[in-house]
Amino acid sequence: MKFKIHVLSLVALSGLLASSAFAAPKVSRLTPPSALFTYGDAKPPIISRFLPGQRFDLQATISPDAGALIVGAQFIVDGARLDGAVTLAVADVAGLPANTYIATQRAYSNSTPGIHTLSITVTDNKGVSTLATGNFEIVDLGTATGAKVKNIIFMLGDGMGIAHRTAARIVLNGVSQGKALAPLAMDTFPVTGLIQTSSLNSIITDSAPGASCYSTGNKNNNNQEGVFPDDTVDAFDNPRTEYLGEYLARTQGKSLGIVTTADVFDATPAAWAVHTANRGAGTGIADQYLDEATKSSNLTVLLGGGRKWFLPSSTAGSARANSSDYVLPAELAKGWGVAAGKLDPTRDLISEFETSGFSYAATNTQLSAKAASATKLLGLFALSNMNVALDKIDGRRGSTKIVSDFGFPDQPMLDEMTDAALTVLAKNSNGFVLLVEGASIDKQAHNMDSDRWILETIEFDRAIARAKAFAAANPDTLVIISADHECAGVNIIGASTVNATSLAQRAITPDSGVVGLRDQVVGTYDLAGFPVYGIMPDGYPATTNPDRKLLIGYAANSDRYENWISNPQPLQDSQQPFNGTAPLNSYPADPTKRDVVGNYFIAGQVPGSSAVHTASDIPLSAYGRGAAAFTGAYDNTTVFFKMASGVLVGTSTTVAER
Amino acid sequence: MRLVSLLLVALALASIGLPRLFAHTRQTPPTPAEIAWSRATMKWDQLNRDARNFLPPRPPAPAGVTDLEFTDFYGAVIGDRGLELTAKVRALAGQPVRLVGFMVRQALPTPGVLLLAPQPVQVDEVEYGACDDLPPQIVRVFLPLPAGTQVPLTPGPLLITGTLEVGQQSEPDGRNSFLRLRPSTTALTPLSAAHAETTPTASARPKISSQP
Repeated sequence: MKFKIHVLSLVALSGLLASSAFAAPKVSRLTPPSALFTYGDAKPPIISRFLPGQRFDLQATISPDAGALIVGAQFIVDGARLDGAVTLAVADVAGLPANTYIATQRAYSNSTPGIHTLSITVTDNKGVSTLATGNFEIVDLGTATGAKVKNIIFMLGDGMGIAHRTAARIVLNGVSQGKALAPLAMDTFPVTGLIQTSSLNSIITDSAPGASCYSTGNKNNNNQEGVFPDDTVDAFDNPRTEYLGEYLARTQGKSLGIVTTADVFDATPAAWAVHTANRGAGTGIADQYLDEATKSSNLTVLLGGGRKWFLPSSTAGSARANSSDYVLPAELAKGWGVAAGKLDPTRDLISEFETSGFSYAATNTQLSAKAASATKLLGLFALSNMNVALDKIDGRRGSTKIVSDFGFPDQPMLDEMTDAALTVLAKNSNGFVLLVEGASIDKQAHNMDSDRWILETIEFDRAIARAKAFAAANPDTLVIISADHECAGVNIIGASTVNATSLAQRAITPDSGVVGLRDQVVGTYDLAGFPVYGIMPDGYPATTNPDRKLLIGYAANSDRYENWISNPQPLQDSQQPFNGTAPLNSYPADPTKRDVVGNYFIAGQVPGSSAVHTASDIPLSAYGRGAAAFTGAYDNTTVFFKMASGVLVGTSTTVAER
Repeated sequence: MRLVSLLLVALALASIGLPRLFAHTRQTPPTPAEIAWSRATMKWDQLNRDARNFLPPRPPAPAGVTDLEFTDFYGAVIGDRGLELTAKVRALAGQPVRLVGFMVRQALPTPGVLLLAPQPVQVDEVEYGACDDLPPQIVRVFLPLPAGTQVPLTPGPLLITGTLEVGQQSEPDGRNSFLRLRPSTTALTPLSAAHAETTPTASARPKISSQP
């Protein structure tokens, strides 16, 4: 409970005075963001926190009185004027007064733990000045207590809430007489945390700030990664915060690895190495992996989809374009010591990676062949997002052609990518930070494609098992499993009360509707029983349409028709026990009739094209050295400081595996 | 007490100029068009990923028109780098060709343009930008519609005949196109009448009986 009346009355009064009598310049934004600046509230929580020595930009948006011009700006920390250049740039977002400027001081750092005040004095050409004050905290990591963490493996299941994990466990291992028959790999991690996920500008985060909270220790706006918001249109000039990978590369010579099943420019992977206010700027993000991250973060492994950003625009399949490229302001490039970049759609980024010492893998076959000998590894296995686990596994079993349709029949599974990444990163005796993202748990939950996100979660769990095995063999390694947010309000509502053939029949019977596809099918409580999925030697379900299959509900759903059947329909699937029997041989030939033919319509609670992220807390699991620190319920940015503490200060606590 | 406090916060901030914390955040509610798009979506693509297996035969091609398959463009497997256009497609540049495909359902379509894919897919540019699941063989179809006219969303396999253009071109939506088709007519032809569009309508939904 905070009472802000006194402070705010003063603020209001001073605002009144300023506008009527003194006409002093105004400071409308002071970065890093703070409740002290925004609300006049100095009490915790302190919004912006940093490691000792972690670099970040100071910035203010300053407007002169009408007719005046800003002539000077000076940043002040704890009452002392800062040395270093303050640059002024024009603020060009709509709605600001004329001659509004952005004052920036780049790559500031502070090594003294505690809460610090940050002020700026702004002077105009009439000699009138104003002072604005905020604060930030340098986190006290304490004194050395024991062995230090050398390697961090961060497993991020995008959109993975508690129910995604539960569903994967039920499908993979089964439940009988009330007990899970076996745990998931992530269930075996000894320490559990509960993470709060809101972003700087919303209770509902997207994947950009949902990842950069872990990699910077700070809240970012939605769509933004590794930067604070500003008042310019340019998406690459925002005030930056040094990433964990950059900090540990600079101070300890560690390497960074990024592995994802998405396009590598997607928000989650980029939020560990690339600073931008536009998560969609694919050409610039891909360029910065090479231009900056290979140097600033010691980026050594980059695996995923997204080859379209690496091909010269003249090559068919390329998505490189000036509109999504980057050029940094000179003062930013100088302040951080990074390349300024240029608009270069014809750049051949794969060849430039190879010139920089990277081995390049385009297929799973090449990945497994090159990992052992590579010192740096680039793997781009699809033009955009990689195909999802269900389709990759179906492709390996020869039962469907989705991966072939996409032209990439030999894509690795996430556990294979994780193994390759660990093989390369382990060659750095200084240690490494590795991000592994199970990207399409989120994307398929958005689509409300239950079977596909369940298989994504199983694929992710298999990668977790590989990370755990590495940590078991290398006990100076910390493994964290978390998510950026929950997606789709997923939960397990029960199981089908009918067999697969009956369900398929209902799905293709016109107007089965609420009675035929809900009332007669959805088994709750006792009627749900214990669904059984057979698991193949490859580790994935033999079919996603067994008798009495698991049923999923969505609390954050958009409009949809539901028939519970895995997609595509099982007609052409030789794995199906009822293949070739009626009624499946009478499937209507018109595919547009089939998706809605059952006519069980579920009205959405949200507008838009797909289910949305939710604000529910998400589970975190920890294993290995320093894991004990991660118990409890806390903010997502705190994860960053716990990880950094393990690396910088160390831990003597060990927790038994359970 | 809290309400008063909040009111004062609002007043105080208004008087000093609200910090533009939300400068990059969309503050507007979804437009009717976006809502309509979402209502029409409904697992359309996921349910029909295998639609290619059910394509009926094409009627005979008119004289001088070459029938193409999506696999004719680049071959079956994409190589280690980009896509390579086959000699067959290069030879057909500027010629009338015929193609059966599915209109990509876009959140932000370009007026007069549809993206044609070998299977039904959707791309939500608002949610994901260019981080999409589009197959590589996309063909950009330019319909000769009046300026600013959106192509009506048309599910089902479409039979499209037009002049084939080959080669890289930067498009206003930020994409690059490599294969383009320019039909001479504006009408979209379903592959056959038997496979006409059956987009669900409000009247097809379960009716809720009113209370007596």
